[in-house]
Amino acid sequence: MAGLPSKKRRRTIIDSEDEEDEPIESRSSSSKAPPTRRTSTRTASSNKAASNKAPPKATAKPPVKVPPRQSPVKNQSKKLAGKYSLLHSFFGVPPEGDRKANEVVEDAIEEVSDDDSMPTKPRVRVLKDSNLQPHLVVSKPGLSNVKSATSTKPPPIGKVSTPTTKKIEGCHPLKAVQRKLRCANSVIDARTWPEKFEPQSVAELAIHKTKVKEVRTWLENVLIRSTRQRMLVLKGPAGTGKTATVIALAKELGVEILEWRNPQITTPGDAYGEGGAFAAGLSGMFEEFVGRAGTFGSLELAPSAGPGHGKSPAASSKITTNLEDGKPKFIIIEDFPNTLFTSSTVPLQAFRHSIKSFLAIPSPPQGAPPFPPLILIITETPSITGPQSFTAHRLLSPEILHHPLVREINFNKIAPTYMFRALSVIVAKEARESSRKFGPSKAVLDALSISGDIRSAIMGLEFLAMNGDMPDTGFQERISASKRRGKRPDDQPLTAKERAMIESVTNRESTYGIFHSIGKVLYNKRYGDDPEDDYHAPPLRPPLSTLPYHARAVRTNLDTLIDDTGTDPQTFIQGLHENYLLSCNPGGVPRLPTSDEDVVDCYNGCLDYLSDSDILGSRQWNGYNNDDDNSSNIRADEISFHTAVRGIMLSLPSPVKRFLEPKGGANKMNYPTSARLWKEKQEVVDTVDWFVVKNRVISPCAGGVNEALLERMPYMALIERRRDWARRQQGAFKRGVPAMESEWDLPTKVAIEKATVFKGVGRPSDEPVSDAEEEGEPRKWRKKEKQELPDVEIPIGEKLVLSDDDIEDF
Amino acid sequence: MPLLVDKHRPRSLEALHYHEGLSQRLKALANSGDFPHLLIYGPSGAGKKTRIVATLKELYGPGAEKIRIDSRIFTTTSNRKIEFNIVSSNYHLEITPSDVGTYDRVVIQSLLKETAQTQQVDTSAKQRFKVVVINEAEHLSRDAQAALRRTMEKYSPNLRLILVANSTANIIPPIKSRTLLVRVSAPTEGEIEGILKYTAGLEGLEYREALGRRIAKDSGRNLRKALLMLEAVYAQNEIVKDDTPIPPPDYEALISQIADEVLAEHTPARIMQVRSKFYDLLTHCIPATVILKLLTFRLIEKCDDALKADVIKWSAFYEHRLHSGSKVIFHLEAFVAKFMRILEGYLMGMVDF
Repeated sequence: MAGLPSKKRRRTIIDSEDEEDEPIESRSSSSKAPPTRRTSTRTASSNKAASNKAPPKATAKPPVKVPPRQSPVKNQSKKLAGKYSLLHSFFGVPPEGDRKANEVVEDAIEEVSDDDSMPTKPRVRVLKDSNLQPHLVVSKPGLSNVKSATSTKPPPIGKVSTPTTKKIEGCHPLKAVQRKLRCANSVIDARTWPEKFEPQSVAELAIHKTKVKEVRTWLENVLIRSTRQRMLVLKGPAGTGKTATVIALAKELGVEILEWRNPQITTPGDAYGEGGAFAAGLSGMFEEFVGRAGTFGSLELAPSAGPGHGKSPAASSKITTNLEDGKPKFIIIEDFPNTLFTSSTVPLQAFRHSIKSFLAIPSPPQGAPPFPPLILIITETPSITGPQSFTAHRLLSPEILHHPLVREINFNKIAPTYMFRALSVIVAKEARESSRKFGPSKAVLDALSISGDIRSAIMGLEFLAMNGDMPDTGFQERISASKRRGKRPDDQPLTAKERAMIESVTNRESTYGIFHSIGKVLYNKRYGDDPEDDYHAPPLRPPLSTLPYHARAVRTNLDTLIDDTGTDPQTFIQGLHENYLLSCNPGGVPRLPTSDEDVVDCYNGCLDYLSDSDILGSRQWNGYNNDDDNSSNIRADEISFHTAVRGIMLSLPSPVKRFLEPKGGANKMNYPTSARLWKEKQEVVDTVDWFVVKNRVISPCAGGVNEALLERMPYMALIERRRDWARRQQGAFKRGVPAMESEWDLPTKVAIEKATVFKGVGRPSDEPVSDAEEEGEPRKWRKKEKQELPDVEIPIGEKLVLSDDDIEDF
Repeated sequence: MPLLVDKHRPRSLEALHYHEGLSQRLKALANSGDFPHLLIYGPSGAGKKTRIVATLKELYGPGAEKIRIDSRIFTTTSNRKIEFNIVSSNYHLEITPSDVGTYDRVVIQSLLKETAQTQQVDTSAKQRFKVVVINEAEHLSRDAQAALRRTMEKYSPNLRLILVANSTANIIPPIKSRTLLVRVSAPTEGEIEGILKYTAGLEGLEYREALGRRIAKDSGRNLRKALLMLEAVYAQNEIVKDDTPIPPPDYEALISQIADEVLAEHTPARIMQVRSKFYDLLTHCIPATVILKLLTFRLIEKCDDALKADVIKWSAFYEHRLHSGSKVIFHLEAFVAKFMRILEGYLMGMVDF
């Protein structure tokens, strides 16, 4: 058998291989290497070159030699197919198997098997080559297999493969392959869809017009120099088109873009050059970049910046720029040096310093070419992640954000309608290119549109399209003119399979985990709730006679619950706290407590235990991390978890009927509000700090944070409000009379308003929400369409009193 | 235009309105040439800082009033750098340790050393030593206080310390014994009224006796607060009468509103509304202790005498838990629930809680 090639033979193969100039062969041979290696240990130990040589097929008569080797391949692929059959079923391929689909998948599997058993290097190389001959590489394994399989009838081992061969012949896999080919041909650059279909013009942006206009106005004002602002901060969640807007606008306005990229080499030592020239590392380089771009902005920037960085061997940071001169330029910083993310504040301060010094450069005189404005694009994580995450506020400090030369524009999540339109356009475009016949149904697009993150939505679309030719993948809608004209009824709901798939694409697993398990606790299900329950647990006596006694055992396994929460115990407890109140309700089932007092007892009991559990828990949430004794922390968290869970279950009635007065929706579980408020709080803290420092200069006796917060700022707000009102009155009644002088400069006013005006916390349920009950009801996708608020000035006086309407009762 | 509080602040010891005896002593100390370390303590709004600034002026002349603000960077033992703002004049500098958190020891040590090792640059200065004012000295960590104690002895020729604190409770005895303790007690309501009248006169405002009395009472003998209230009242109303309402700060208004809601209804839905208001307050950095305290006082104003002891008891209980726990919202909410429980029990006629 070919499995045991002698050494001599291998050598001859080397020679023959050298003569080979056909890349396909080497590719296909390498793809067949794994089984050979499995058979002989010697070969297995050999390196890549050897494994390339190993297959004798590479010699003169490939077809003849292939079959023996192919059988292991097939075996393997079968194994893999078994492994991936789960995937098949998951993606809706019926288990008996549509043949065509199976073949496509098997092709894919063979590629996968390459990956599994090959050293990674050659694979990489092949991929690189793919730029040159993409279609060959992409499809070759499949093709060569087909060829060899069809052309040979190997007697003994071929038996295994013959059925497959026939199948292949039967259902024209070649067609599928050819389609793939065509795809590959047209998409030579092989970019992902978000890049490929990135908006080319402003009209294509899936962003609210006013937002685009806001950015455009700013940029135009800078270009015509009607404003002296020179820094724009765009912030918002991921995938809301911040960068796309700037790039599209730059294209339209005919502006060059200079961009900071993180250097690739970050190893210390050699990387930072001799003599500690770059002792400060990345931040230093970054500072230099900003400084240089700022200082020499009016000069010919490209040559000066390029060599400057080229000097240091390590600085592979690039400034992407065209050499044409005379065009106005923007500097974009999107990719912030990693060091800013660490807990140390030094790089952060250095960063702020460089920004400040950029802002401090005096404006060029009227005739000189203007400054390139600096555009910072900051992707904020809007939720959850805690005080370590990355926000504009944290990065820039209020001092910079309040700077008169800085403008801040906030991007919201993309509204589903815009997103839907953009996705439809992409589907249509893509269909034109790939001549795909089926597209996603409207429901699928709708579901994708809700995420608010356009990048991930397009990625999800691409992922779905990968399997677009299989049935039941969400791509069953015929792409046709009629559909676009809207003659078909488009509002069929999602099928179960589509939903499963979309869930897998827009993966929110862990969040569901937490809501699910919170539901388990808060529904407090016990054996014996339903009459048909056959199991009645033995009544256990509570250790203390004061505890309420439910003789029915809990259905949830409390010992394992802590492992299933999908989050850490403290967040889980916060989740319980957020949601327990709706379970404290009378009137569900007659034998339950129904009087008002019992209800009071119920929530009072829950809160007692929650309070206890907080005392027992670890301290890490208090701002200071005591990392030194982690084990005790874990233990403390566990104790706290059980106190909270068991205590709440003791206090709640059983069974629970959740109930919400005006609106319903009691089955929804909300993400803990407290975990989402840290960002607002951080902003207030920073603002107050800024105010305190500023105030110290003005008055020598100004005190610390507490004084400012509790005495100074609230009263200043009161005074200011009145003056505002008076000013407006004056404006209304006595035209021509100069308006009253404002007491404080604008930043101070903003700070005061920020720190003192209570607007009510946002809705507690902005986050993904599930209908928590474990069985039954389908999960709904809550639409989170944020209304674009027009910048109407609301008289501050109206916000003074916090009416019940301001606090949204959820 | 600065606030009245800053605008009409007395700049010299002679101009101070109350505690004349204290002012004279401070003046004598400043002129004696043997100025001791001071620990000035007293409630907030009593005039501690005003007296310190005036004393500094007495020591050095008007040059002490020219202050600037520098940001300095210190390196901690773990090689971490912290930025820190320092208010200083040629003759003194001022630090607030709560700005640096746990690293106050390093900051204090290096700063005092640096200051103490250099002589007074200005040869024409009246005094040979410089003064370091430490605000909020009760928030200094134990470490920092211990470090201070050594420094105070070692560098006494070049350096005097003035510690400012609300109470001496958290200050270690060695420091107390090395400083001259000066208590600045809160002004009486009569003194506050006098100052309000005087300030109104300076501003040309029409002063109302009854209103002044109410402000003085409401301010809790906090002069700064009283002046801010005065200014707010006059800013909000064209014509000020005796019974013009004094606007409360927003956070107090909100807490009063919470108290009313808690009293009115005892349902889970009500707790949810109250919770979102708590969140609003907490997000605006109102300390949880302040919230609990104000809420308790608002509640006991409005509930039956029989309940007051219990309410205070649970308030104290949860206030303690606020400090030992980490999720303040739990304890605030638990207090509300407990109050509802007590009230409900009382209304049902069984006051055995």
